[in-house]
Amino acid sequence: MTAPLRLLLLGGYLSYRALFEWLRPSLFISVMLVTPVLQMLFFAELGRYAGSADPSYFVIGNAIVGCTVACVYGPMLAMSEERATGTLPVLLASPASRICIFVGRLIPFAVNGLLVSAYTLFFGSLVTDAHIPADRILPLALTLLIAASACSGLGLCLGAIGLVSRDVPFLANLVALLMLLVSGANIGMDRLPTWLRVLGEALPLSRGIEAARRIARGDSLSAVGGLLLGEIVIGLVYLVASVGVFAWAEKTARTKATLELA
Amino acid sequence: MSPATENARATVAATLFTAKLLMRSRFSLIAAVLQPIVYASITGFMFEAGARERLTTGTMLGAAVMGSWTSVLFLAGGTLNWERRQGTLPFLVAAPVPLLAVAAGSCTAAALLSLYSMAGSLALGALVFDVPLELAHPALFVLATLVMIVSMSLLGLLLCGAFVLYRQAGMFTNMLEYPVWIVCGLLVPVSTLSPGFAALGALLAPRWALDALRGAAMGGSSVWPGTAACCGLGAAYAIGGAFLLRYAERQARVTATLHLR
Repeated sequence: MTAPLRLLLLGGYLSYRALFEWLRPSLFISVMLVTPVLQMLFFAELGRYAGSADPSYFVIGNAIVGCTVACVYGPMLAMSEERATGTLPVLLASPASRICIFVGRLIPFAVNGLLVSAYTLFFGSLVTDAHIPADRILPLALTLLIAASACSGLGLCLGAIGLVSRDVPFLANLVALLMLLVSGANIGMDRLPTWLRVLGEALPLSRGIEAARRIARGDSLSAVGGLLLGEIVIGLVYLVASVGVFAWAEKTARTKATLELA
Repeated sequence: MSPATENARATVAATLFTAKLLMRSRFSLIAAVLQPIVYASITGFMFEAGARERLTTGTMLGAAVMGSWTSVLFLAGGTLNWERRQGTLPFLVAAPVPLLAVAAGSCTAAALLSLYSMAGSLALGALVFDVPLELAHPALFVLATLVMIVSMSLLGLLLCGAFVLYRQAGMFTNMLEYPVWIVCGLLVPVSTLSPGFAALGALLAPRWALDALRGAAMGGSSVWPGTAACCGLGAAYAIGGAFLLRYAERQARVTATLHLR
């Protein structure tokens, strides 16, 4: 295995594994498997009562937004824990490519987010009246993967900010909360005030959710290609931003000797 | 100073100290203020999109009680585990004042965040969704709010005892947030639930607190039954919480596990 590939895959794997060593498996089950399903059921019930849309609307929307637990908090914690546990100086002293470090930390959480979304979608279609035809599963899986990857880019960006700021868990909580409102998971984007719609479009997931709903209704992948491309671009923007923030944090930390200040 | 006065002084001191900490905590801001506002906004937009009637003061109060439950669940329930992580739990246990008195103060401070939730939700309703800020019975509303704070703090005490005794239970706090919102009918009425879920909700103070608040704010006969249920449940939570805390304290001394996370 070449060195960059090894760094990408093995570094990401070890970072992911270490995070859940610290956080314990029971927390994994609680946060990754149970909470997204409960969230989806809550909004499906609320939507049914409000009469605003059919159950599949909420099942698909909340299945995708459910990936935020893995894709926003995961990379954010993986990066910020480097400082908390004292491994950040070693990471920065190494000659390793920063791109490989970042993308490596993104991959496991994107896959995790995909699994959380798929599991929530499966469970939601079982317990509500949401029906998703079998021939829609593969295009939906691709859409979920793109949405989860884009969301992981945002999580990584927050993680990079966490290297210079102590308030990043607050920011991550705020972003995850706002996504319920502005991503289109529970309310159509056209119903939101303009400023909330703009915020929703600047964050990942809104295009992925729209694409997933259209695919479930029978649209082909090519018909939602623009939405998926938009989601990929948003994810890349956050990834590039996270590398930029990291480079700035690295330079600042070396200049001001603030690397280990928690 | 008599032991009862000394305990009361410790409870008040713990309430003030924890309230100061929580008011500076950004997590409190999320749990008590921003989260109810976001959920109430989602509900408002959903109602506008659907066939349901417009938002009422009752809906906004439901969102406020959601915030109250979140505060109590995470902040009151986890208060002694937080002390354990900080390394201050052994000092609290070793102090002459009973642990119960200090824990009750911390839980009261967490329940006081309900006032933030209520202010945030009602302000959102008035400013964004044109929900009039009118109270049918202002004096009863104040009483219902006080009863809610006391019963929620005692529910927090019960959770606190359970979480400190069964440390793994703290891992599952996330899982308790949505189910309680659902079974207590905080945004979707209890009448739409299956009887089993509704019966479960009847054991929880948030459901009755909301009944009392809605009765006082919008008029109706639910004020006194809601208040009485909150008082009864609060007494039961207090007994359960006191038992669990005493048991946890004794077990920790016997097994020397007070420090262990």
